[in-house]
Amino acid sequence: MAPRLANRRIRLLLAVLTLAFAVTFARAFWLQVVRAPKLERLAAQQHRETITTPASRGTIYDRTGSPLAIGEEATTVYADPRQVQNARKIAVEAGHALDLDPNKIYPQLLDKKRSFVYVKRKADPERAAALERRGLAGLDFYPEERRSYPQHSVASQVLGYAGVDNTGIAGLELGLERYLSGTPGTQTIVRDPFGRTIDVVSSTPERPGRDVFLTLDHTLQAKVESVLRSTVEKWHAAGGTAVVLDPKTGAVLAMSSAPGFDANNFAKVPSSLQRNRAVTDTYEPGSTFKAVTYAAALTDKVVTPNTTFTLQPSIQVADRRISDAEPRPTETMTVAEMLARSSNVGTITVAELLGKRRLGSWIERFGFGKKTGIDFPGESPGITLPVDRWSGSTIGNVPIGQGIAVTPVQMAAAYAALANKGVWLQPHLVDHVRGRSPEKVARHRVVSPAIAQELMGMLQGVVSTQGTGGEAAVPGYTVAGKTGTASKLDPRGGYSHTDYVASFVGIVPASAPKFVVLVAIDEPRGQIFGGVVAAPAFRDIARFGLQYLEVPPDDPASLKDAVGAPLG
Amino acid sequence: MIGVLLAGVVFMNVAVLRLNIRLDQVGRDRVRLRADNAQLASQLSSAQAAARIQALAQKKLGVQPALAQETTYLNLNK
Repeated sequence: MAPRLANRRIRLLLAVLTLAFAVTFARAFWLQVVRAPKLERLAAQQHRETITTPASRGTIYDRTGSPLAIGEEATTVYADPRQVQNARKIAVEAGHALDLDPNKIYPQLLDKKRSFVYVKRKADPERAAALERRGLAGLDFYPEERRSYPQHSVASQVLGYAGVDNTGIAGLELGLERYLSGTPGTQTIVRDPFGRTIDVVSSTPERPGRDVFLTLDHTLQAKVESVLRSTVEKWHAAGGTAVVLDPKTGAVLAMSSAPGFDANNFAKVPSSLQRNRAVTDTYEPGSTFKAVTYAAALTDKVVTPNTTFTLQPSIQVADRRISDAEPRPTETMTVAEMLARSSNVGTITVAELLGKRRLGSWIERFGFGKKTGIDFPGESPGITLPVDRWSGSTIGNVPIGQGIAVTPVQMAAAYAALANKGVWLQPHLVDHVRGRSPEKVARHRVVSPAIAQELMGMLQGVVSTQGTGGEAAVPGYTVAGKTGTASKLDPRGGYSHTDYVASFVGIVPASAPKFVVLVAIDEPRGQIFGGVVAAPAFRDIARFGLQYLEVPPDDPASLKDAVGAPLG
Repeated sequence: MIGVLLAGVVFMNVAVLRLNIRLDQVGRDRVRLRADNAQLASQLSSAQAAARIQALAQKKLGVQPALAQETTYLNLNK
């Protein structure tokens, strides 16, 4: 080849390369400098995304560390109707996979004005994954946390529930919302065309909710619920409530209302079954309240346990004549016998000696008429009439537990004070929140240790062959307690002659109390007396609890006479 | 020299990219493992529910809860 021709070709190649380079440079300048801001915005829109990373909700554990409420993975299925190509197919397949009615999904998928419709929130992740694998255009999926209650009905009224947005709606889920709910995080990320994250521009990590440890024991709670359920069924009652307290600490070991419900299906259950009636509802305590009257009279030295009274069969108080539940002739009884036999006449006689002002102040001192401060939302303070508004007959009602409304937890706390040598402790459900010290438990002395001991002795007399609570006896253990049978208010006025609340509050072992157990059965049929309806339920709960917590018998002699009955 | 530096920059960017992809995957794994853990904890809680165990023991093994009278406590202080 001639050198001249070669030079020409080289020059031509150089010119072409120079031109190409110039064009490339010009294009690069155009893109990188002139159009840079606009393209950068466009790129950011297409590849950058700021996503919220939801914070997981704290787990609620019982005192043994067993989860009672926990967050589980779920998948929310949604559709973009504008992207949907075959609405009929999606409706049928989603309906089949997620147990939905296709006829309800189909019209939503046809609504092209919307770009987002829920197909199913918090669906089962495996079913959703199976649906996702079918690759239906317009259908999309994202993970969400679903609140689950693995023990179903156990402590359901106490736990409450969290809603579809994972916020507490009722019970402790609501009351502990500030601890359980965490703080969501955010992430600004850059994705490649395949949706993979290639850069994290900025990130604020989520802060998960704190775990909460309750004082409840799931085994004892389940037993209490079982006993309560069978008692309500046996007596065809409208309902029942039970509370188990540790008198030394104020810890609530079990708290239940029957009928119960499965917290996983809260939406299908009437709200009346969802209330934690031990805290939110009141009842007239009847004779279980007499312990307060006698505690007041003993402390103010109006009587001693051995003071004797000759009691008529009935007593006139203002316009009312009140007699004992069981008809009897005129009798002489000691104060201890009056409590053991639950004499209305005797209790009112003592209350009249005490006077309404002193009795009123003792009612307040025991915590009635005000909230206990238990860490559960919606607590009722109960209803007590100010002494100034007492009528002439009130001194005949209140000392025997009529004309006053209390919550079961108030009554259990009052008996716990007697069991705890006279010191009232605030009942509580939360032991501690993870990462925080346990809250200090409020306490105050109600009666002296000596008076508490005297009353414990008198209450042991109730659970004897002479007392009204013999059915509450637990073989091998000393039991102190009191029966209650209160007629309910009739909506038409006055007291009902058919509807009663039968209750029993007991302390076991009486010599070194481990439990206070309150059982209240609402509107039992066939029998109405607390000693017949509620005392056996107390016995079954106490017997199980003592064996479960391995409390040795304090009265082994009574075991020899006992006829065994299974705990189950 | 410039070529080496440019190659280093490219190599570093590729490494960062790979790490980011790996980080994203690890993040997903973390979420999935947490979910699996919660699922297992939930199943464990359901399985260890006292009422369920008692019912199974009675039904499958035919055992009965012990009587209080049959429980003997030993006092180790004596």
